[in-house]
Amino acid sequence: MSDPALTDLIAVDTGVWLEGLLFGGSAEELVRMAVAEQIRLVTCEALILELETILRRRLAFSEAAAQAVVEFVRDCAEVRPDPGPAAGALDRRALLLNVAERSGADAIFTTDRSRLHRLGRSSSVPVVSIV
Amino acid sequence: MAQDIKIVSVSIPLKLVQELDRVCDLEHRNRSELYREALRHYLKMRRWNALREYGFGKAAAAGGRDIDIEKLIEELV
Repeated sequence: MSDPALTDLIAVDTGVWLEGLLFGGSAEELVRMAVAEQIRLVTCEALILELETILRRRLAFSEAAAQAVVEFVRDCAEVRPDPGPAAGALDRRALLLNVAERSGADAIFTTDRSRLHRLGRSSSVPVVSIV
Repeated sequence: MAQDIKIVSVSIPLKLVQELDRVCDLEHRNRSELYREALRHYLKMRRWNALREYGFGKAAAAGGRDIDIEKLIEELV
């Protein structure tokens, strides 16, 4: 097993999981690297709930399949608690930035091409768009 | 914990064992650790592959590459 202290920690947004699941590409490569323990991924409860909701409501995943995805994400990524009652008030991009900063992430990987980059300008965590 | 571990015996070609032993030496780890890691990776990758196959099917049904993932997320809020 790789030494966690030497492995990059990447905060990933909901779009990265969706992109990998639906289309593969760079997002899937990121997941494969996490499975191989070459990198570590981090997310939080609210983002997992967002992913599950989109799979079921917007993409017609069965309940069992959506649940299987959630279980996989939990096994594949470090899941941090939400930032208290304030989580509900945070935009999902702000939530991701919050998780990344609290976790000491080395980078944020996102499918968002612009808004997260603007929000992240004041953050010490670099934002990388992967599509 | 000991009660969470089951000892199993498996047969492995000699050449593969020799290669494994070289990795054990290089990484200062024992065979069991490497077997566990390889198995864990395999099973996790197998789960991912099954989910991805399912996802590819759903994506095709929903319009393929025309799906705008950011829009999907935004519309949920």
